[in-house]
Amino acid sequence: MQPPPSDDKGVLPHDHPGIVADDLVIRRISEQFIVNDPRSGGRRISSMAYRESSTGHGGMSVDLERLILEAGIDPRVFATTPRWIGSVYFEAGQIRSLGCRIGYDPSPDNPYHGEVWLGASKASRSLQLAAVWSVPIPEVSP
Amino acid sequence: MTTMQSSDGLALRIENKPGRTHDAAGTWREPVRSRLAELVRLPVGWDGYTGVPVKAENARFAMDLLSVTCPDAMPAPEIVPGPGGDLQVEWHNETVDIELHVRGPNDVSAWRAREGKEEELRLTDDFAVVSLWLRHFASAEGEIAAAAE
Repeated sequence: MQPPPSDDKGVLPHDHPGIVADDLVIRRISEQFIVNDPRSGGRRISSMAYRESSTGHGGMSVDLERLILEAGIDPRVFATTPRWIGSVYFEAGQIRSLGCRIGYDPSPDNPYHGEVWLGASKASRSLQLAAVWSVPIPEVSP
Repeated sequence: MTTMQSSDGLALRIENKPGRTHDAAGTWREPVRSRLAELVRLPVGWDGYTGVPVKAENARFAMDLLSVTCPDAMPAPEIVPGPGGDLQVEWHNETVDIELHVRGPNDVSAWRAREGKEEELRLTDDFAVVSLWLRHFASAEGEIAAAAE
């Protein structure tokens, strides 16, 4: 994967050409993101799980599944064990169709780390609707 | 319309509401205080990435905002942290969703979905619409509770 563009604040928002349409993008789901859902009588993931960070160049942190697989690691285990109790995934093409960009942002702790730059606030609600469980949290809707 | 000064000197403009004191003890207050106290102590990386704990200034602002906009009869909201020290205050029932994303003091994205319609506003110093939304929500909750009795 080509190194991403960056400046002194970190990786710049970009759409990485090495991330192709059918690549899967995984988002870890902390228990902090789970809220009660009076409609279903159960629990679900808050829209807050799909928002950009307000630090650096923003972006929503994700894991790039293909890079994890190429390293010989099970993505479901990598993205959820032991503290992150669940994870959801999206197809890269689907994210781009919402007007988002997907970049590569590796770190020493996570060489498979990427970012999604949403572009518009409504994109977070669209992502919420598009999310599919990778490792489901019991009795929680995505 | 009244402009109120919170304990942090934050200007919060709200609608006048006769007969209501802002210091009255709503049942939502203690759960909110307790949840905010928990969120400012989250460990770095709490979200599985590089998420930081909720910033104290954002937690204080959220409490001040609720103090001047949230009716005493409101149920306690859900409060969800964001990865950059921000937070979101949420209420949901069977027909209405309200989400207040506190990006920073006096920087709030307010969203409501009701009867198939969505509204989203960026608010900085006039939070009258939040007060109105929450009064409607509390009123609807009261009607549901009365119908169930």
